[in-house]
Amino acid sequence: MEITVEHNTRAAQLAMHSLPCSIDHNGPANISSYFLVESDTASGVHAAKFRGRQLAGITAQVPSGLVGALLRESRPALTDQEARTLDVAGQFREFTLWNLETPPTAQADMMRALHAIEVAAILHGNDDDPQPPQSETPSA
Amino acid sequence: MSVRASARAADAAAKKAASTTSMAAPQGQWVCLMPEAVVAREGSTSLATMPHPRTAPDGKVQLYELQSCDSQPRSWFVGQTVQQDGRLFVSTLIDPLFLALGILTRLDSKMFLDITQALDVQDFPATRVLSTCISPQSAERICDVKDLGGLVVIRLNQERADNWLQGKVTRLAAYLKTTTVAVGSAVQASSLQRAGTEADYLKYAVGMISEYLDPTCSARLAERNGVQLVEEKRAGKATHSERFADEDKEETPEEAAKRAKEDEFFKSTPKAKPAEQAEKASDEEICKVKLTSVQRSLAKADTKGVKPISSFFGGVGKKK
Repeated sequence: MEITVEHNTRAAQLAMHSLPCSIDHNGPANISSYFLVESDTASGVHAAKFRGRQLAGITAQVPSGLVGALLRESRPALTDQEARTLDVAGQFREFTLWNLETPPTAQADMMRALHAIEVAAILHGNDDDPQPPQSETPSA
Repeated sequence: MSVRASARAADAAAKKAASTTSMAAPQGQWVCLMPEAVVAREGSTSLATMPHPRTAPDGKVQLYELQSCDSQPRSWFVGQTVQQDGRLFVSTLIDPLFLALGILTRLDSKMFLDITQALDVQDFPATRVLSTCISPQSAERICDVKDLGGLVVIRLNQERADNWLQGKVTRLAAYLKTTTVAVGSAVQASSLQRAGTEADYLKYAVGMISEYLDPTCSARLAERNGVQLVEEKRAGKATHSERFADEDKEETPEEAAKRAKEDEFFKSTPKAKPAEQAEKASDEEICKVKLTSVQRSLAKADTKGVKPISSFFGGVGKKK
């Protein structure tokens, strides 16, 4: 099975929110009118309410060298042998990571996943790579 | 995931995307972090399935690993749509030599083999890409390499591979010392901040690299670094965090017993249902006992000449 991702450098920028609950719905919703975000510029903590629950969020930047992409399969594959095509339907440079009551810490799963990208550059790099992936990389 | 630059008209791609963004139902869509160098240009990328070695990109093709971050419960708001699937897929570079080492170890050939042939694994057609992204120079890190007039033949060299892995351990341990953010489990994080000795970072690094190695390789690496990988007992099924939790602390007998109990619990969860029901049943019994005192007093009441309560409802029906 082969999966191809079609690039699209002009894909629209998306406002992304990762919510600390599972919403059993896929489809359009009037998010910008009903999900109102108040941001404290000093602390960088965002506040919003969802279903009467107080949420606290932080802005998570997509690490440099990466770009957030919304991959969409417009035509679902009928068999698992079939070649599949995903389109970049939108992109993002940051997203808001929400938590209940208290803002997410660096120990939150998603923050750790973002940090793991940096670690992967060390783990999968070699001393004599033509371009060291990180500045910390000791050059041989 | 390998990168393939296929010549595709930019306009066509843009049109295609425009038509899909207006599509209402965001089913069959995923949120992913992808390398900017890959996505920020016209063309396409293919996702391939490779054999994981446990069960540096210097060629034309770069390999990335796709991992999903799934912290349930979580959903996405994507622009003006809701997406139930809250996973974040992250693509990171993977050293193709890890994959090659896994394949060659399993192959266990004493003879020199053509690099393309050696790295081609049945059932994983995408492995053909491997020989194009591993140059002979890079293959020398883990192999004896001979160039027979254009035909590159390789043979696994265990000593070289071990040295290559050791280099990775050293580099990773040095890096981990400079970072305060925990990558593994929370248990590991707190212990790192508490103790933070050289040995701790070494253990941690060995553990992380072992994630990409088959059991025999990781055992050798652990032995070389004087690290005990406790999870071998558990048939190599230990997860990342379990592994670190195990490595971290010297287990006391009580802790071991407690963990064994917990393990037993998780193992027996499907069987736990009858026990649950038994518990419920006993709850009901308690309720019955409590009720009986009331019922007893009710039973004492003189019910002579009193109509049964069912007759009341029956009467209403008749009147109508």
